Amino acid sequence: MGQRLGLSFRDPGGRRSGGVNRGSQAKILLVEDDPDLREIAVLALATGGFQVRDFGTGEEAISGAAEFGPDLLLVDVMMPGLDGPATIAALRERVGITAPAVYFTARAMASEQARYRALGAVDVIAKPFDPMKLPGLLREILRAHGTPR
Amino acid sequence: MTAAPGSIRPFTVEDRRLAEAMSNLPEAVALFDRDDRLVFCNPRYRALLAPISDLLAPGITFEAILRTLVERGALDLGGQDLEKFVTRRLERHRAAAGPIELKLSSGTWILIQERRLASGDAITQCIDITRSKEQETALRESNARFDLAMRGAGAGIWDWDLRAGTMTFSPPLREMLWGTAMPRVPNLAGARDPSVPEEDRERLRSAMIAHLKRRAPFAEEFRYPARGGRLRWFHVTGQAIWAPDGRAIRMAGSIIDINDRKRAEATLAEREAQFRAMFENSLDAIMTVDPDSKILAFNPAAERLFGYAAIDVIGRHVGMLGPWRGPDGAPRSRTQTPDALRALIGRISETHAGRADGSDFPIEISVAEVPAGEHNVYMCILRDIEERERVDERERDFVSTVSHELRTPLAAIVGALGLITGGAVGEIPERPARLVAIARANSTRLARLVDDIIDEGRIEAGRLALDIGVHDATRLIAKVIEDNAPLAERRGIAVRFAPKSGAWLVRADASRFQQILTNLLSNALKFSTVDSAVDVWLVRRGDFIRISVQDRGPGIPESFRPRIFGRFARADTTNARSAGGAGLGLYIARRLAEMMAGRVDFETVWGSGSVFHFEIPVGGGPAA
Repeated sequence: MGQRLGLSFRDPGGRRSGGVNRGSQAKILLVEDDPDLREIAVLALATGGFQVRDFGTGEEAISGAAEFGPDLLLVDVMMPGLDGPATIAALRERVGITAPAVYFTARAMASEQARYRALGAVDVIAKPFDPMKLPGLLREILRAHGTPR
Repeated sequence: MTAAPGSIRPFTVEDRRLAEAMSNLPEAVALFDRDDRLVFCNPRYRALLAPISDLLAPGITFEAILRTLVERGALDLGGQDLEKFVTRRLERHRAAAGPIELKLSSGTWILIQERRLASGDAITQCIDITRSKEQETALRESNARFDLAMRGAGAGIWDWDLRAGTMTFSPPLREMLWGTAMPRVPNLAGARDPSVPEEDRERLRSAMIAHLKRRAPFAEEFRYPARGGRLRWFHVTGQAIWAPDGRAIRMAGSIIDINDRKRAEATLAEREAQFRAMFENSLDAIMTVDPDSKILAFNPAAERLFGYAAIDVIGRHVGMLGPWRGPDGAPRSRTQTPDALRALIGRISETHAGRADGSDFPIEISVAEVPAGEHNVYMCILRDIEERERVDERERDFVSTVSHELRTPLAAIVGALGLITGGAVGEIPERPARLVAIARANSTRLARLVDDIIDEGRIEAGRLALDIGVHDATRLIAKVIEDNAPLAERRGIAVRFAPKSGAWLVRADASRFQQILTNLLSNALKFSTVDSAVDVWLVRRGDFIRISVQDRGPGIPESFRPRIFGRFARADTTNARSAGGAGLGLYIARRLAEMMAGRVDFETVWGSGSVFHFEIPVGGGPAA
């Protein structure tokens, strides 16, 4: 199903990727507790030309966010410790991050989207997702909600 | 009229004495001689025959008196012939035979008594019997009315002469008990009648003895095969008369047919017993409340539910069962307006109640208004739903957790395979690429299956919420077609969709709209023959927009049509493509459409394909 985008990934081990610059070079802060999924998302976003910094917990994200200066937050909803909404709230209140936030959720109920938006997100991406379509989706969201760089 | 005054016999001294004695009698008296001529009459006689008093002079014949009375209309012959009457009356007069009764036209009844004296003279005595005549008539009429009433009421009178040992029954009673057939000699109002069932007979007999010996009231019920038919219930009462020596000499009373009443009583008692059993043994708490909100009844289940004994709540205000705390958690006064129960009539409501121990709990309550005499009462059935709510919550958590736990690894698999097939990790040789494509297609299918199963669970539990908005149907349709392009491509099927320009606004949950269409379209792609085409179009139908998806498949077998929208519906076919899903796609599509006030239906021709229609309300406002 995935459409061939003709892109290739060149930095498979890169936790702090972004070495490849094929797109906007927009900075995505990813918080996802499942390591495999995190790796795939990082891979997909890097392939799409984003700079990505990923964290396994909300707490880690809070300590590393200011230095990174993200353009978009992609945050899992259900996580041990701080969950998605709490992480976003802390990023805004304690770190002063204003970038738009997108939820990443395995409870993909369309009807829950309104609730997620109320929790401070501009959009929701359901799991499972098509990794090859993820960059395009985020670019659309950035166009609609992002601060122009 | 002829009077021959010349031939009167001389007025004797005796006559004068007699006349003097008679003149003051209260009865009317007249003396006639042997030739039936009037010798004299007293004033009372004159008054009685006032219409002819002018003729009542000595010498007038009895016959002349009779004829003149008739002539002057003072005597009522009751339709009989005058000559016959006169002849008969004269014969009686001469024979002085027995008393006779006559009615004068004035309405006065007189009793006439005549006596021949040794002298040959006749004394006629007339007594005014009007009063007793009237009483007799009244009595006769009253008796007739009484009999009629008795018959109508299914009642009758009996009279038992204990000395003679005879028993008489009023005609209505005879008719009621025996019809036209003569009874076997009935005995003691049934106390010895073998037709009366033995237990009733025993009861009658002892009651009768108690009455006759100890003067206890006699009123009993017994069964009797009235008119030789089935046993009917009767009620008998009686009262004896006792001689000074204490022996009963006579007893009389009535018997009333009470069969209908007994039958109604039995039915009522049966119903009452049934209701009582239900009330006592119901697992649900039941209570009744009067219009003033006072508790009338409280069943054992209600006692268990609230922790109060029935005796402690009956008669008290129903508000005492209300919650102890308000929704804000603050203590509240436990009173309830009488209207509160009224408002709950006819539906099942959920509310809160308070137990005796001070705890509050959620209940389900249904209230019915039941007629009870002058006022209606409210019958309330209550059910503790605390446990159900706990289960619901656990289930919600479970579905949510399962959904999360299944989707996360699936997301990793789909994502990893997606990156490979997407070329993110570089070109891979053709054979591994083919296998990876299969793995990816199936992981996607598995993900959809998980979604369908979760959706089905939520639809069934009525817990699937929608985010209804106004959307442009053509954009949503185009998106679905685009998403299904890989499948269409693989099967070599062209999807043709060329909507007329302009926005086709619908009121729907956008993602559920797409889910419905995805189900219809992917079915069409699966079942159409290779290298054919699937057509998608939309039309406006009243307040709905209808989206149709036409395939070029085999059509739907007759046997499958009725259950095609059922859960886990699968056609009995060996077609491998149909085995692809859990059989939930169309079920979910239809249910989702219904939840959005739309519908899903189909037309099919076996051998040439099907068209599925999805109707959805037209959107009013601007496109979202």
